Amino acid sequence: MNQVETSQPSTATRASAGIRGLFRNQGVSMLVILALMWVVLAFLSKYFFTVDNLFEITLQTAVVAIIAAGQTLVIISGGIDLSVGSVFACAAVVGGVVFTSTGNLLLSLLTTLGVGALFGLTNGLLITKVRVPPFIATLGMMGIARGLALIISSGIPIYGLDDSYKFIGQGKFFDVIPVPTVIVLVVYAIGYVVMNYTRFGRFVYSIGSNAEAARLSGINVPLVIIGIYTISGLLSGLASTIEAGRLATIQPAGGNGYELLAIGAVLIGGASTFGGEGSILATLIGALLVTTIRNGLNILGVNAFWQYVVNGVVIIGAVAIDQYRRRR
Amino acid sequence: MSRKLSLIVAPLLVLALLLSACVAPAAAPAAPAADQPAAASKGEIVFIPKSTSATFYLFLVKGAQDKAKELGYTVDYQGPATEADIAAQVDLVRNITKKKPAGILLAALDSQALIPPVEEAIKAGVPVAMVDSGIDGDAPVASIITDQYKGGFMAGEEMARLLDKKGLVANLGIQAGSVSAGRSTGFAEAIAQYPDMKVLETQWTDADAAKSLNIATDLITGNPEIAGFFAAAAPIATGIAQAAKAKGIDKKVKIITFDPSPEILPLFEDGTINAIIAQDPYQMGYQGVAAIDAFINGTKIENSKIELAPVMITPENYKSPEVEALLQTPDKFQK
Repeated sequence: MNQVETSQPSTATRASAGIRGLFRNQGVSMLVILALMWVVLAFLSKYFFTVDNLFEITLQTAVVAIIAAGQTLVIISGGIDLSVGSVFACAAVVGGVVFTSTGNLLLSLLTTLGVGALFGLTNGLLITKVRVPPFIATLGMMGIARGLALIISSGIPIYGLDDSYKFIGQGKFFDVIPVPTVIVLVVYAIGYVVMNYTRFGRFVYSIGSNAEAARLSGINVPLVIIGIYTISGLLSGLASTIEAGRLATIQPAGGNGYELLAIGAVLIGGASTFGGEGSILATLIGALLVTTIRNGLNILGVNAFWQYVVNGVVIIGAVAIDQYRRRR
Repeated sequence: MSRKLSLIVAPLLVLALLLSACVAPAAAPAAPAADQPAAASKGEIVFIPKSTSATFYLFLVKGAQDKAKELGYTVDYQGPATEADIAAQVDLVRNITKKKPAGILLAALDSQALIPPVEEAIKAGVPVAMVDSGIDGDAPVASIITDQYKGGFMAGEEMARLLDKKGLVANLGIQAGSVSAGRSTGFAEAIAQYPDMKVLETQWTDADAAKSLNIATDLITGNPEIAGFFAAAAPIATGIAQAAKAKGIDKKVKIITFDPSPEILPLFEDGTINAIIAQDPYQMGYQGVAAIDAFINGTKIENSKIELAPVMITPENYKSPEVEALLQTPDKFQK
């Protein structure tokens, strides 16, 4: 990479360096690719580019996007959280039990968030105090949370969630903007501010770049890490309330595989698996990209088996184009 | 907090979570395998479902437990987490065989892949009876399964009847190539009989409600004239129903599903779901244990291959006692 850089002409002006710099930002280039995809799909099907369907994409992305926001912090810090899918289910189940026994929506939502945060906190403690590597700790927690979700619910979905609960998943502001979309925007707005304008955000990047150096420079690394995993758990809980609202039931088997979808969104957005790099907005684009592909293929009626192939090809293609552009 | 203190706190937190799970189900029913009489047991029969995520199998366990209690066995319940994990089920059968239970009840995820572990189990002296979904060949001592194809076909015929034999319908299956894919094939072939009807290509959902919700929504977006949906399993119907409601067409489209699971019944009662194909999991569990017991005692098993025909539940026969017995309501297996 050094060879290429020195042989480039040094006559690049400030302006074009600025634009090239903008394109080097994976988030922006993924956004361009996403926009291109939308244009192509709009031509391929008249049903794709409607206000209704575009909002539908944001709606279908919401759950994974919120989990992926937490996962972004985790991956930037150099860790990984495999438990999110199971914590998603367990937090929802406990909240659901509270709801069916008290009928109090607020209490139930707070319980769901609390349980999610508690699992996250436990992950954080296992990783920092007991020194279990994140992969192992969260892998184990994945099993524990899933098992607990099934035990507490006896494997039966919790149904009969009333309209107040359904509003979270199915409600619309001004009759057109889905509630989950607004929730996603709020979460990402907060995430953006935290990651780019607070010390906590900077600490997350530092720890991901070089944990030892971060520690030596006085950052309370364990505390930050515990915070990161707690946030990841909390957001998994939040995401589960949306899915419960959309399905009007709480599925103890739900959230299966969501950890992979969330990690995928984060990495497609450009975060490095080694930590230290990544952008929260790019994660959102990554999540939208994945949903757009699936939504487009469904609307076009592409054969289900070919969808797997096309999905994989497009994802590799999108990131490959982006990597090529980055290296120029 | 000090290093030593936090070393204790973290595992305690995990322990607290685990304990709370045992205490919490005061509101919820206890797990199936937890309440078995320990006295004078003739041994343990292990039931291996297709997945631990479907309420359907809880009723099969109940049937098995009831017969087992009569005869003096205990029933254990172990299965893969999702219906997609065939390899996990194969390994599970092998592992269970090693602990030499009195017998195994198995709902096979794949009619071929499960043949070797079943044959090994029988060779090791563990009788195996198939329930719900069988394997090819004559190795098991008995099989009490549902005619998957027939169930799907019945659904197709009913759909045609509800739609006056014309219209576009969608077919949401569980997993391609699995035993339950027969349902989707049956439905598609039934619809194919009617020239004025068209069925979209089958979509595979792994019986996941959220996935079904998204797929159904997209299908409606791409095909606004869609008139009906077939769900091969209850969670799929949950997703479809919510998709239809969100698009405001729930009163217009016809939805037919498999399995009268507890979360499906309210949707059926309010008219969102129009028909349910019911199997008899209780009978399967009951007969399965009976067959294993007969084999152990050397008694000849009268009917070793039973294919239970599914029953179609419609608003007309919903209140009848025969249908009432098939409804999967939680009170049927709560102690």
